[in-house]
Amino acid sequence: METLDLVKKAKNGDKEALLGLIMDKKADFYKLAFVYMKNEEDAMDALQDMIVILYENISSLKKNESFYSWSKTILVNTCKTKLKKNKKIIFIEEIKEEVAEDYFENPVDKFVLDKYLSTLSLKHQEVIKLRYYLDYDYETISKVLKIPLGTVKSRLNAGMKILKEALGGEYIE
Amino acid sequence: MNKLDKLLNEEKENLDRLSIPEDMEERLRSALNNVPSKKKKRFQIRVAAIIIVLLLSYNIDTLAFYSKKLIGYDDIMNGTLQELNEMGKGQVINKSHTFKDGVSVVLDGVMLDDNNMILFYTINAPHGDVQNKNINISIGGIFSQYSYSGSGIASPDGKTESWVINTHEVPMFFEKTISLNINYQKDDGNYEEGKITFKLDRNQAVGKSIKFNINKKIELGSRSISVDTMVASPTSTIVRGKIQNILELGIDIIKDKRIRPLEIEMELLADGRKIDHQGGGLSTDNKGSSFYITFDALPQDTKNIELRLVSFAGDYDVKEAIELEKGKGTRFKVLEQDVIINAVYEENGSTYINFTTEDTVQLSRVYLNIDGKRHELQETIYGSEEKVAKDNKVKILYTRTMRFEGTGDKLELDIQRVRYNKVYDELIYKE
Repeated sequence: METLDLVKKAKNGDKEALLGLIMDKKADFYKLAFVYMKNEEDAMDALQDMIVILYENISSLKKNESFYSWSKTILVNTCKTKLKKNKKIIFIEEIKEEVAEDYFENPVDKFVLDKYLSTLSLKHQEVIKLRYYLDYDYETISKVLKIPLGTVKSRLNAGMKILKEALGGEYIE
Repeated sequence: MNKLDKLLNEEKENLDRLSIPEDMEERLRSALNNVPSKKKKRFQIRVAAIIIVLLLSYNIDTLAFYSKKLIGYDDIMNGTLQELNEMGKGQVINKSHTFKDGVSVVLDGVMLDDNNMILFYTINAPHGDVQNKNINISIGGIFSQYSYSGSGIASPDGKTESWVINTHEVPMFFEKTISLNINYQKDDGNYEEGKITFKLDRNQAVGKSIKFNINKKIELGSRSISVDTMVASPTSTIVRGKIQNILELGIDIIKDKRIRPLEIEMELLADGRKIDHQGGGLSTDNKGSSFYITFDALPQDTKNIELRLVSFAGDYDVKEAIELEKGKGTRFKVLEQDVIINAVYEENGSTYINFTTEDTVQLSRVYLNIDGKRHELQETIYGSEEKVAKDNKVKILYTRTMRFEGTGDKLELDIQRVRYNKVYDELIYKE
């Protein structure tokens, strides 16, 4: 109920209410942005862009209960636009060193995963990341990415299949 | 759990451990604070709506009517409405409807002119939470329903009372009895309906305006628009015109020469002083395409007025096929707009075309015919912007890359529509 109150206030132009809505789920938003942007600076930039877009367009939100899936869709689109604009394709060779940090027990594994994930098309990558990294269920993915449930499943299956095949024997036994 | 699952899971755990930047809240807040406050913006829109309301011509002689001032609407009334209210213009109704749970709607008053009807009503919620009471109002007479065009709402304490100003279409001149249909959706989702009826007193309408017949045709390349009238009232000034009448529109569609207007920018000067632009709109219906532009009211003792066309942005039908060659640049004009093809190349099964135009130009519908087969545009990849000064004007050149799936030898860029903004700076009317 409190969420709905805040959405109503935000719709009336209350900036703090909108900020409150985002901060209530700040970890969700930050992680989602991070999954796409891969670093703090760009993730924060995307979040800043997102909140401005939300503010300017919240009056077009029809169902107040859908605020969170609506705003996440906008975040995802903002991230994608930014990725395209910056054309910031980080080649796997360049992030080798970063990878070796405390991220993984075994940096090689992380390296391998990243490398193969990055060979998948963005649409396959993103469903895998949302499903496995952020623990979203199929329905949430479908709402956030605005694609049918069946498509989520088929992309996930196809993506995982390619990933498994690419990684080969030892990863799939 | 196989190793892939384990890897994915570890990545998830890493992400969960990710610390959220401490300044996240501050950064988001500062981003928001950089946006002009919407409350104000929305208010202006409302005001504009209300002004439009009031404005339009008024042929009924206003009687020096005095009734009663409406109280509580100050927050949502613009200066003009306030003045009218101070003068006691309008019709006082003071009728209410109370729902089963005690929530009530009181229709305090109505203002009417030739173009709009404005309702002033309050919502009372004795048990609080008035902001979240979902109440919709519609207006009907005996013969028809009258559509709603905008509203302003204020609830200073957010608890028990809200003041609302709604703008509606003007009821037909023969309608006397008007009913306010109230649809109240309760917290449990159920609806309850209510009704307030009142007799409309047309002698109490407000406003008086002057109409200028402009009737000027402006050539825009091969097409033209006409500016028909300007109506200046004590509260605002509205310019109206036609972009195409239905016959021209039909011919244009048949000839594939349609213009879809996007924006018309005009400037209104009163004794050399610029009048604030408030808004406008474009519409296409069974009579053709028309537009209106709203400005603030003319100052009281204005002697000279001047109306100028500043620019016109539209989406134009074109049918241009440009042959391209891989590895070779070229340049051409579409509707007098320069398009420079910098590079055409293949990569990973796609054909890429890097090109430059002025930033106001957009190829809004474009295909690539590869060996005679039509391919759709997949994406446009953002490139760079460059400012160049030419003839004392700064132009922005925008370079980007289009990607089409597929490759082949014979390439033809099939441009179907172009969108651009043209600056005119032309005098439309002077008096």
